[in-house]
Amino acid sequence: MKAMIADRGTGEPISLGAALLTGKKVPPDASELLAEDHRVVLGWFAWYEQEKGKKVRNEIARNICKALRAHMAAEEEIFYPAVKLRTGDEQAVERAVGEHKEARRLIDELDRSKSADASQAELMLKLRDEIAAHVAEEELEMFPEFRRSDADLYALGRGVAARRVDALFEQTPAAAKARSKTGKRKTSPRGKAGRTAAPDGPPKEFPVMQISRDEARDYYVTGLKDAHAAVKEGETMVKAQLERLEQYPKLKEKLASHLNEKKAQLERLETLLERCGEKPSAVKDAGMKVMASMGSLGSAAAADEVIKNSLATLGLAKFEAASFETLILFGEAAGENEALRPLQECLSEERAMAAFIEENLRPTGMRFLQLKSEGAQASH
Amino acid sequence: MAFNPLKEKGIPLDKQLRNWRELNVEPYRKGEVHPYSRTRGILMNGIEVEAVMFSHQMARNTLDSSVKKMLAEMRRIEAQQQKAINWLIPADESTIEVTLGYEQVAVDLTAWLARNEPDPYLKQVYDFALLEDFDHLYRYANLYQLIEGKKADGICGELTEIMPGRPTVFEHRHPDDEIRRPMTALAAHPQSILNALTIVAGEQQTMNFYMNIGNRYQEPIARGTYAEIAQIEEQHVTHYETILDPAASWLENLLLHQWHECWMYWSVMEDETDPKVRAIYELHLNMEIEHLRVAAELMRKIEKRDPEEILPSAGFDRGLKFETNKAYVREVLRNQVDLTSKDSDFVPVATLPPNDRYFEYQRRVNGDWVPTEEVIRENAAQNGQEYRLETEGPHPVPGLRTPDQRNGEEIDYARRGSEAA
Repeated sequence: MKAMIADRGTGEPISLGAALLTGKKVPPDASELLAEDHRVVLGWFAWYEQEKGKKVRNEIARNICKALRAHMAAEEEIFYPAVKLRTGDEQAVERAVGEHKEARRLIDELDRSKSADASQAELMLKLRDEIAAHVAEEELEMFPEFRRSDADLYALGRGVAARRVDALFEQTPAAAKARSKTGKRKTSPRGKAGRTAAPDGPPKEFPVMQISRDEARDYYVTGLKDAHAAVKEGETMVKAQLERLEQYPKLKEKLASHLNEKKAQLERLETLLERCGEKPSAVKDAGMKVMASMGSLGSAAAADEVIKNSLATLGLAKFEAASFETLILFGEAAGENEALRPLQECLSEERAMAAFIEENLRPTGMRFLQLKSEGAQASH
Repeated sequence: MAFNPLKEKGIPLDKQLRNWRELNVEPYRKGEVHPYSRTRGILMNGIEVEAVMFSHQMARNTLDSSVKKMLAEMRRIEAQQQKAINWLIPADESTIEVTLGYEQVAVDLTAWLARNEPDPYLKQVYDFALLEDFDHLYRYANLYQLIEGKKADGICGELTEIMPGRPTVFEHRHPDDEIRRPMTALAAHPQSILNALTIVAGEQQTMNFYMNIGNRYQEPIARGTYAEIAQIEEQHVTHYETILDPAASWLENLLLHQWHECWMYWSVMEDETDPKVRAIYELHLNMEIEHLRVAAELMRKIEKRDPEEILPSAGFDRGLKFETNKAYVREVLRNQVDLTSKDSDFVPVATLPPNDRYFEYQRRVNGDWVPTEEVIRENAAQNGQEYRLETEGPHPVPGLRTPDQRNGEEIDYARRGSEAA
């Protein structure tokens, strides 16, 4: 998956896929979106036929090819597998894929054509007829059948819309350049790719992920287990503090509400583990070696217990936020799109917790000193 | 007297469209309208403008054409509701008279919200801007007397005192200091959400109104006063909109907007004394109940979430009220007139270092002419004294009494201002 949710630390989703998943864009019904694509492309074919200007005709042809490539990628990778699963109509899907193959052959040929000459016009005509027939089959048979199934059309719409935008992006010169850098082929200095690439290019972290989904999934599952352990540790730490805090009501209130968040986080992580075929009960939360030293900071015996605990809680919250951030990346690489929203929620909660503790370090410290100077109980 | 719009049945969407005659409602009579009936209408107009603009923005972020159609259908109705309400204002009410109504809304609405706000930080957000709108009323009241020779209590009655608040000249702050801390919709008190949606809509409409009608006068002092206060309204929209939850999804926001509109119409319907206006509110409430149902359905269908988990099951426990807030405003004046904002916090202006960005911003915009100061001087010169309506005794802040009653007292702002100059 190329739709990045990595949010550059601002909490704002940057890709369409991420925006759709977080509700910052309203997702489409997948079948409606694909039908809308059909209308657009058929409209462009009509424009191509009426247009007199050669330059414009050539540009329309290029755009049609780009849009069709993106549309077909989204259909084949996301939409058709869902159709097969929900309707069991393998024949319809096979037929559609066959039509795509023929369309792709024509598009490849069009890509080689340099200008809007007679041969291009002939190819365009063939492509139009091919697409029109394909559209009719999908809209009259496949889509209605699929809509009658119990598929979640909007969840699928999120995937289709995001994949389609990614596939368009992959066809830009900048993306081609990024690919050639990571690939074996070197761009020749005379090559056009170098010249036409946008100077500001794609976002730096635009992933050209060579890793397979299955391989990414291993890291994702390991990450889930580690995060589960960290959250468990956090839960214990919060509970222990809650039992004793007396002099710091604001802190206590925040910790109490954070405890509820912790419980929700554990539930979310367990659901995600189950989806990957892992039994949450079998997850051992022992491997928390990294956290061992940090956890021991929090101490009930110390005279400055509340301060030590604040530091430990801050450290752990940051650690958890960091693990969720990484998990989101791995989940995406593993194609676990539906996991991203719950993980994003966990990330926001831990960020907020860390921010709260950080903002309150001074007030807590000052109250501690104040109570101390009055000879009152100050440690908790 | 709780009211739960989720439990009510509204008017079906396809029965909500009205014809031109129905939309072209009979305006109220300027001489007879109750000041708070006027303010209710002004506020509800702002609520409908927000409904329309929000729906447009959402449509621009919607990939699904059937959802876009649903939004367009509801929006057409919201736009009709906006006309029906805004057309209540009669033509013989002058622009400044309508403006006085807008500022009376700002004062008594904000004070009610502050008094009914459970979250202490948000209460501070309301108190802070309350004193600024309170001052605008005083500036416009003087402009009114200067230009039209009339007294503002003819419009506002004696329900709202008219005297200086935090002087407008000092309200101009660097934009970085208008960003507040957002609430988390899912964790916030339902009343906090209702309050925030109300004030954002109200202030936004005030901004829209001033920036469009401020050029309807020939007198430079009137044009200047509108321009200056319109810039504060822009500041206030920033101040208030940043308390909204930026993480809420579009569908969540649509649901909250429709739910909020139900609350608003239910509130104003309960209090409205003019039976014809009350009937409009009742009709609109029944329309909004249906809009809420549609929004809830969209959320179930697309996000697969249950709206009842987001909205409180108990419904609304209190209605918003326009009522007199004289004692409350005086108390806030006494304690907070010298506050300014620093990032998302509120601090005494006296604590700012001399090189703070606040002073630099002040120097840039105030230059050598401050219309909201001049309007007071000009009106005092023309009518012998400035216009005030102090029904509860002298101004609670000695530094804000008229120059002859001030005994040399100054507010910290004035002190810092003369230091800076």
